[in-house]
Amino acid sequence: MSDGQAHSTGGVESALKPQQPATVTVLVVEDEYALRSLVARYFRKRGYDVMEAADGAQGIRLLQTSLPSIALVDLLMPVMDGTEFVRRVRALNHRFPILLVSASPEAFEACETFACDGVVTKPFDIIKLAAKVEEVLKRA
Amino acid sequence: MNKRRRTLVFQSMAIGLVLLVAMVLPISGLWMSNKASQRLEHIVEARDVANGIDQSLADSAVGLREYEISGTTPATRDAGGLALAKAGNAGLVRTLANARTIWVPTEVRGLLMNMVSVGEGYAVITARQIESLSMSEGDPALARQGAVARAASLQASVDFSTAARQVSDEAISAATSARHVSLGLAIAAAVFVALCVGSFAALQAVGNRKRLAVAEQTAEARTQMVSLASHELRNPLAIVSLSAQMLEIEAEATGNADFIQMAHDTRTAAARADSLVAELLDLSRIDAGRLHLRLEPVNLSALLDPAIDATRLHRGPRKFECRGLDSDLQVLADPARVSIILRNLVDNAVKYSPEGSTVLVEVRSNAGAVTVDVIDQGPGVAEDEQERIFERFQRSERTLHIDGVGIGLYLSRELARRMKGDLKVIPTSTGAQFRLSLVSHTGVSTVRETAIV
Repeated sequence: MSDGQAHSTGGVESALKPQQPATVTVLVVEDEYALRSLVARYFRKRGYDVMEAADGAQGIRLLQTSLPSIALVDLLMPVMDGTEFVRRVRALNHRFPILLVSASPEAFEACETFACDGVVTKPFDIIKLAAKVEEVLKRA
Repeated sequence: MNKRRRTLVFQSMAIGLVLLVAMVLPISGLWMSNKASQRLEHIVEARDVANGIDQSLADSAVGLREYEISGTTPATRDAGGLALAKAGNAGLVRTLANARTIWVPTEVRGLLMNMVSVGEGYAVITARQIESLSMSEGDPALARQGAVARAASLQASVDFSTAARQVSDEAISAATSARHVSLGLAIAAAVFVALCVGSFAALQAVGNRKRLAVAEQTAEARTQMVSLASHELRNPLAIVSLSAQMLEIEAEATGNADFIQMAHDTRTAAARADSLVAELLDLSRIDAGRLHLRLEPVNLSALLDPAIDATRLHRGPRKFECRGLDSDLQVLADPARVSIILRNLVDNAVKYSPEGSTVLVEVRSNAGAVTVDVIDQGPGVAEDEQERIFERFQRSERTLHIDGVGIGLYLSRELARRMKGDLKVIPTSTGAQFRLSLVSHTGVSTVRETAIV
């Protein structure tokens, strides 16, 4: 998964060591381009590092290089959907917090099944989303 | 002539034919049976008459004989005996005359007439013999003729009786079989009618079932399509909403009031559009029996403001008066669905009341329930419509000139009830008053209660 090098955004070490990394990384997994870009743009402006994935498969590939501090995951995506992505993440023993961002009612069940940290329904208020992210990171 | 009418005409003709056949069969059977019975009656009557003739012949012969042996000469013969003989012969003549008048079947008419004429011949000879006996010792030739005539009469009578018995036996069996046939025909007719009606009904049922299946499939397909399309709309709406919010943030940084307003309006409109999409989705979920609500503490005032804001965008500014709106007031409900209900109530109030009038929103809380009354100064809801307006696709007669599809109140009440609340009309003298009631959340527990309903 990781090459053992310490990246500022985390990697294996951040999974093993409980310390807070230097910058916080948000992984955005969302297939709708504009939505993904806007969210990424907003979080970068607030000083976060942002990783972007257009589907679950890309998300899993990104996890091979570094682990985020938190992931925002849409459910309905092509290739590999959000539920499958979350299932694999948990199966790989990654315990980083996950917020499901979705319009489907299935999100609530998936949240409980895979021990996610919350559901944010679309359309969302970005300020409230950011507040929720900060709240969840504080708890972690 | 279109297909449906043609089918109807054919069906009516078929029914008419069936009824005709069903009536004709038993009627003809009955007629046959009746005719056979009549025949039998006539035969019986003729036999009675023939018996009468026999009896009269006997009486006449006995009378004559009595007179003959009552004395050796006219002087010594018993006058009573003479009277008896004359009476007996007169009786015979009457009976024979009567026999000529009755109706008998052709097969035995000849024999009856023969019997009658032979009897008449005997009566004439007997009369002459009585005459001669009353004046002298009698004419032996007449006596011989009389005996022969009597024998002939008896023979004719036997012939007739035999023939009559045969004919009446035939008539009896004909009558019986006619009765059986007529009964059989009546039963056959009834069965025929039953079969026709039964098959007609079965065909109708099959046709109906097919039509119903097609209709259900179409409705199902349409529901699915609406559901998919609605779902598709949510992402673009989310983008519009998010972009507008980020523009709003930038605009606030520059302080440009116009930009701020435009960005805000864009968000409001996007939120309204998304709420309409949510309504369509909820409607199809209700139809599919798959509506799941998640109950949590919900702040009413937080949901009321966007609803009011949306009407301003949609229909222009309107005066709203809000009473009892406590920012701490919470209900246990599904936030998205409460939003839908409030939007519908507030939008209806503005839609159905004149410009310049005020819409009043009054919130009250008592004994575990929270009520939200939305009151407008429009035409109101007539008493006979108070239930109907909550039915799907129903519109009040008086407000048909105003736009709208008619699902808002139906959906709102469904949702309210599934959240253990209700939505109803409160009768008022002027305007309309709608009351939404929901379960209040005491706010003590911080555990999020979720219920799948």
